Amino acid sequence: MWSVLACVALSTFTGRLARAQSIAGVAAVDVTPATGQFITPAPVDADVPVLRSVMSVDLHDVPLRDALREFARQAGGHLMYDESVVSRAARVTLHATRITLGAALRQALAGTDIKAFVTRGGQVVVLKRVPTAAELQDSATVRGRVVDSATNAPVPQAMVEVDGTKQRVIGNDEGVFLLRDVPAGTHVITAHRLGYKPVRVTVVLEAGADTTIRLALTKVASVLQEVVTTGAGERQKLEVGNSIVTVNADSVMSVTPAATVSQLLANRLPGLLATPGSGAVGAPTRLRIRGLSSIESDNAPIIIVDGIRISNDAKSEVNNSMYAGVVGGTGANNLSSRLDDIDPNTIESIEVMKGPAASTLYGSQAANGVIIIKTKQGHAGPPRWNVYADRRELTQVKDYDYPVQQLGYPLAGGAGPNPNCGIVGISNGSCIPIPGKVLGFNMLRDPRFTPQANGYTQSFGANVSGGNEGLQYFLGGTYLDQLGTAKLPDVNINYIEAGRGGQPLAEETIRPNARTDASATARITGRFLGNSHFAIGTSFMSENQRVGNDGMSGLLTAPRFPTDTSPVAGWDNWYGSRTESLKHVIGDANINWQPKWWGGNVFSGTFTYGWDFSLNDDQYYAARGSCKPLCNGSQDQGLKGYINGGRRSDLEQTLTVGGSVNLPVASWLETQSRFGGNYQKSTTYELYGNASDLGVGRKFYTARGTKFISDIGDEQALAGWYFEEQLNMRRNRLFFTVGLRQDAASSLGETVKPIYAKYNASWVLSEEPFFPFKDHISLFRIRFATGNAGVMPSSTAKLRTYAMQGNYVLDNGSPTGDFAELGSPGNPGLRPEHSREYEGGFEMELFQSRLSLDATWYRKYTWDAIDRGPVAGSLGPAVVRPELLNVGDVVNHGFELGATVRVLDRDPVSYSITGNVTSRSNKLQKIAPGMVTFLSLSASGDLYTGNDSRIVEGYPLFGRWARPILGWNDDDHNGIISPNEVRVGDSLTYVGPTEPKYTAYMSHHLGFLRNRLTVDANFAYSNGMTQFNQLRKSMLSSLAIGQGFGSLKDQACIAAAQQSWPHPSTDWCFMETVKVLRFQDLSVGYMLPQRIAASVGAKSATVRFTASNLTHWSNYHGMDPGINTTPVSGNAVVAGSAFAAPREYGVRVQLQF
Amino acid sequence: MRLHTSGTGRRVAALRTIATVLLTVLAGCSWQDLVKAKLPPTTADPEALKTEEGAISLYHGAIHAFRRGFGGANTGYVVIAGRLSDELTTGAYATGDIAPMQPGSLDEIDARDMPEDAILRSTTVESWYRLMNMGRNQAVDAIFYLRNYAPLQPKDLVGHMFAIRGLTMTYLADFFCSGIPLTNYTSPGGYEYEPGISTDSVYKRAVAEYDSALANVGDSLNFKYLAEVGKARALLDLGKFQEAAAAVQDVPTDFVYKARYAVDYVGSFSNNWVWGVPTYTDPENGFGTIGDREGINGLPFVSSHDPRVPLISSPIQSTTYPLTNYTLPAWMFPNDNFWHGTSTKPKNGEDIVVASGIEARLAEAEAKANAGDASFLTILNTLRTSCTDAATCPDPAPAGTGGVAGLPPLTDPGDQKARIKMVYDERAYWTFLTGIRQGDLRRLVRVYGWPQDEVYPTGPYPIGAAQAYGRYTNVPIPNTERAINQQYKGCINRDA
Repeated sequence: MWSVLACVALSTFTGRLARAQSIAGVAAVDVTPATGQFITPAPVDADVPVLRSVMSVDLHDVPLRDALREFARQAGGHLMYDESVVSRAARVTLHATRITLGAALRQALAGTDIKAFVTRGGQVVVLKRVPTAAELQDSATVRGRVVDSATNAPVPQAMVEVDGTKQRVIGNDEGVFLLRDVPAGTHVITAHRLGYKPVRVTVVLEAGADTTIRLALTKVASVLQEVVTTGAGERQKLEVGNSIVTVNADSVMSVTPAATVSQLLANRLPGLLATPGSGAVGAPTRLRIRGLSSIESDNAPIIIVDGIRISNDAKSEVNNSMYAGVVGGTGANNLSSRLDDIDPNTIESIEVMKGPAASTLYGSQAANGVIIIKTKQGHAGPPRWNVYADRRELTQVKDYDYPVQQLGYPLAGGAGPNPNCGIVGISNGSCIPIPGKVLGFNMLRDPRFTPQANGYTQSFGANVSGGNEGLQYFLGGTYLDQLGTAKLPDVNINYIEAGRGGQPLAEETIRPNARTDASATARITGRFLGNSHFAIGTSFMSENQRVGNDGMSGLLTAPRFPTDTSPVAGWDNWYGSRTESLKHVIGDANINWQPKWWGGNVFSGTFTYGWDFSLNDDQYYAARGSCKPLCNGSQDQGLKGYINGGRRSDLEQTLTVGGSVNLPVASWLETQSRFGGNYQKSTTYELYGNASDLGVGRKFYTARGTKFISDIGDEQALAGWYFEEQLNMRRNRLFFTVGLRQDAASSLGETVKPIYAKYNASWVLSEEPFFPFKDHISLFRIRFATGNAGVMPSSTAKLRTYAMQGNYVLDNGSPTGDFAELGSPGNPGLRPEHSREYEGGFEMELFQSRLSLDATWYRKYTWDAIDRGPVAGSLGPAVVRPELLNVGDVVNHGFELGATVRVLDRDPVSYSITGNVTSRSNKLQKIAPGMVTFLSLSASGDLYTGNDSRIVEGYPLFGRWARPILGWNDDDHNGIISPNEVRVGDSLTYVGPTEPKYTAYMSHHLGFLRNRLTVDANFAYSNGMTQFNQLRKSMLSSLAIGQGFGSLKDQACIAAAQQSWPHPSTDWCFMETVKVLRFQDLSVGYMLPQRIAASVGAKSATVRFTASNLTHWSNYHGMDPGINTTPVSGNAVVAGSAFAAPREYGVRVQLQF
Repeated sequence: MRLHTSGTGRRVAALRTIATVLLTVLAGCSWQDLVKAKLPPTTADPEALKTEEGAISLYHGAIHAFRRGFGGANTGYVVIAGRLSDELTTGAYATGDIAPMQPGSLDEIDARDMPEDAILRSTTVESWYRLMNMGRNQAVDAIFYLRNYAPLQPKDLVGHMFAIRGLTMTYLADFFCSGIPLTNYTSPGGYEYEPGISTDSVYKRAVAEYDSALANVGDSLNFKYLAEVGKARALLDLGKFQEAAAAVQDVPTDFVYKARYAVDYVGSFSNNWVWGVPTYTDPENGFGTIGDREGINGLPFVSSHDPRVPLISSPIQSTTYPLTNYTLPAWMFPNDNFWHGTSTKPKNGEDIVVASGIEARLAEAEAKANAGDASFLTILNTLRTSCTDAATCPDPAPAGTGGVAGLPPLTDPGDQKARIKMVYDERAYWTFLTGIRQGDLRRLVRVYGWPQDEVYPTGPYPIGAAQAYGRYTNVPIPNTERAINQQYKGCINRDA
């Protein structure tokens, strides 16, 4: 096609070039037809050396002649042109730094009938094309400009096409386009550009006419234009081949205000599972992305805030029993979460990199994903104030399938009513329930016994942002006050206060769970040296919380009568208090240097340094005499005083230095190279101790009794370098990226320096001229990524460790020597876990962007999985699992689908649905022989009876296993199933995973009155998680099974659980695979009329009513299935009897000034 | 000026400069320096071992592990080997105990019913196996650090470590099947798993360790005699009777080397657990008692009332012992309705003899008996009658009883096999509950070729329904070894 035009041009220009000179200044050339000089010249798009010369131009509406002269000047040569060609050409506007000569000519000549060519000799000539007579008779020319409808600014690189024909062209960076040879007649001209709604214009073309049109595109939000963070810096999402999901914090907070970052994230992102530890305020949430793949190592993602890693590791605080009962089980591992210290009101966005394919360049700690938080920045302009306040009431759900207590009575003639008449007692004849006397009542519904009460969450805060072009600021602060739903039962309060002569109990004792959190954030950003930028930010958080000594666990396991007046067991230590006090500071400084080399955008360098420091005081304190006069024999701590506390500091330091080089290679190819290094150091130190017999008002060092003080801590350092090369092909449509990172770390042996690599590709097919479905599909991108990343072992795994002990008995009999006791033989060859992930997917927008889809499939293969394994006995260590070993392979795979449907998009009413569906599964592909498959070791291996999860080759990590109940029979026909009447299988059988196989989330948004009134309803669904129903087991354990009370199945269940060796016991009945649909949020917001807002001096005012956790529908027979499994240390879960997530009703008011 | 050389040239030059600077910086940095980090406060710095005190602590640690594996912890080798031999036997676990033996319990060992294809899950066996190997391997580290970082320490400590290595190997060979992996540390730092080697090979390796000990004991006669007695024991196990006798010719009869124990020394791990045999109530291990004619062939340790095996019986009345007033029901011990402990190990802090001059004399007697020399009887009778002074009597003469007076002199049975039997019976009483008996019984089968059912307890097993003693004279290596150590393929031979 082009060669034909060239020939036409040649014939047209023959003899007109009298003063031809080489633009490169090589030599003047006479161009004549006889020489054949212009036969098959190269077009300006060709990749020839002369066209790759780089220049910077700043031309605004200048004649083409002047533009060409400027090009020639910067290229160091002269222009060869015919005056008649350029004299009547269009004027040129072109602003570009580092543009090639070829690109400059292409853009300057776009929309004209002038073309540039390169001769075989390397000269550049500018020629005008003259249409043929036939063309003049049958076709027309359409020229014009594509602009933004709102700003009238040119829209670069837009595609303009004639519907029904194959004629399409891509406009230049100034929005100018030219369509030639369009058949005369009526046509529809369509313009597309990523990030804009397509526009269609009908034109009537007359043969031979030259028609000029203006195509105005309206901007629409396009996910592909978002800027996302990668390990090597920021990129547009369309360049990245892996799935990165982003939460706009404001958009969530404005609808469903969240008290913590975890709440902000919960359920909203496909692939991210947020499991709350309990419904207690301040309880930590466990985050898992794309399931579990580590056995021993932490499966948690790493957290980056404004480029700085923050510490969110699982901690083993000395006081980790603080949540016992309230949280559930033996206590959550973290008292609170450092992630949740961050005020959600100061967050701009949260990006989630889901796995190694995305997080490769974060290296040896990022295989489980990265959560990147960007805090808000200021904007140029006058100060903008945002003031907000909200309050929510918290209530507990009390309706469960099973009554919380069921009671029996002993055999007549016994010592009176006895609630402890269970099936074992019945079967061995020690008690017999009396028909008609068996009672049951739900303690949670009885105001005397319930440990539940209404709590609240309230917060208020403000932020302001502003600045000018050179300096911007953001300042914000929030105060959060929460009261949990735990409450000392009334019967206990009455008992204690009566015992104290009517002296009332302190509020802290009656309501043991509460939290306050004050936070402030400041960020200053600015520009220096032209294009360079800096940012300095800091956040300070101060938190205090208290958690009760005990909780529902005692309530659930202690049978009682509804007529009891004695205190509820499990709250015996009412006189002590458990508190946590925290100070947390995050600081960062960032410089982005863009020197004006070669036009200013070729090279840029970044430097980031920051730290995350937290100081945590945990304390359990019972003052001397605090239990008086009710002290009993087991309350020695309250009688004499007792303190147990720890002070812990965590410091994370991050230093990153990087650079990037952009090089346009050809008109169709631009490269970007990024390189840099990263240094990370984590230091943890904790001093803890306890002391007894304190004396009045005294604590640690003045205690009269035993004192114990010790310290623990850890330090890890990691350094790595990275390199990333991106090829931008086909003018921002096709991207290939390769990257590499290598690490060294203090926790690895000197010879272990892991290398991670990634490859990804992204192709925006819908922007390609050949894409055939533009009428229906406005956006279609396919992407593929693969990459690997690691998980670090512990800091001492490489070392042969000896514990130094004292009191070695010397041969003379005196116990005075020290001795070294072998701990672990040491594994200097230990490698980090490696995970390689493959993911592919697409984004699609259909029907004028009314339907958006984002689908991703992934498969992650983890090898060298680390487990704490046994070493052979011939090696010696007496500890059963002393050594970290690379022993396992784990496979994760799943599918994630996100969708948004704009059902109705009209002025008075709009309705949209946003949702996601996630499937996840993992399997332990193989594990080295001899590895212990139980988290809690049993000397007798397969005699395991507990409900802890298990590691078995071929099954999900930490799945639940139990011996099946094969059957039961009332052999003695007494209506009671005793333990020996139940048949239990010999082998443990897999029951199910401890993470849900499927989760889904759906958010409905209704807007009225141009969205001044909005209604949002969110639903969350999960399926496939296997829970251990501790509540049901507890109740059946104390169940009096008499005539007409308790089915034979229930009896068999508890009888099987209570068997003892040699009959294997089982908790088979109490493991339930759960599905639950939760009505998570209902939110109604109204933007008040302007006059009302103005009455308080505000520009706008919004009031929103919210209700959360309204109800759920589930097949589960216990408490809230989303809570009952409690995260504990490492990756396991334990069954607990925790407070469920409370139901919340609230209101939020927000004013903007 | 050529267009393509101008801008490109500047770019390339500048980028080259940047790259050069970066490479220079990178080359100048040592990654390991960059990522150095402090160890946790709870982790002892390995560098601290490179001192005299560090080396000594390793030395102590090796001995400590040996002590725990030998007679301490939750039943060490002395107790477990006593179960396999006729020294100790098992009581019932529950009234009318007819249930199958609990897998992994010491009942299986007592009943000699330990086929290799069954999973041997006994954590007790596993525990002492690990401790013995821990002592054996930690001795390697101790030797390395003593030699390199404790130049002023007596040289005999190195010899002591070699002797400990020899002893651990000897006990392993005495107890386990042929096919024992002697995985070794490489000091400092690494290790390599080893395949199983034959019983004879282990004894030979033990002899080599004893020889190394003798070359490194310096002036210490105590460690010299220890190494010589140990070497003699290993040589006897190899059937080299005369060499064994020669090895101990310098050892005086009153030499005693004991494993030290103390009640208050690093908790219960350092206790002597022999005292607790009768009352050890872990379901895995069941109750135990002193054997009395256990399984037909067992010696009458109880009914002979031999003063070398002083007994305490239920119910205990003395306040001296920690078992005060602890009464066990008669059904637990159907043989004689009583459990018996030994007053030679009355307390949990009591030392246990590892090697003695008496054992040296007995080795000489065995050599003479094998040579047809009737003077073996002189040695035996001298031992039986010469010790009358409590102050000088070698352990295990019961303290405060005035020696072993009252033991009548033995007469020569004439028959060669009976002579050997006499020597071994004497060994049994002299070394009762010191970890010798299992090696002795096995030697009678392995070296002398006596049928195992003439040597070990045999016939009906008294606990449980229709149980009978099995045929095994040794125990398979704990199952975890095969599971973890890929070099290890199991027992080479389950015969003696």
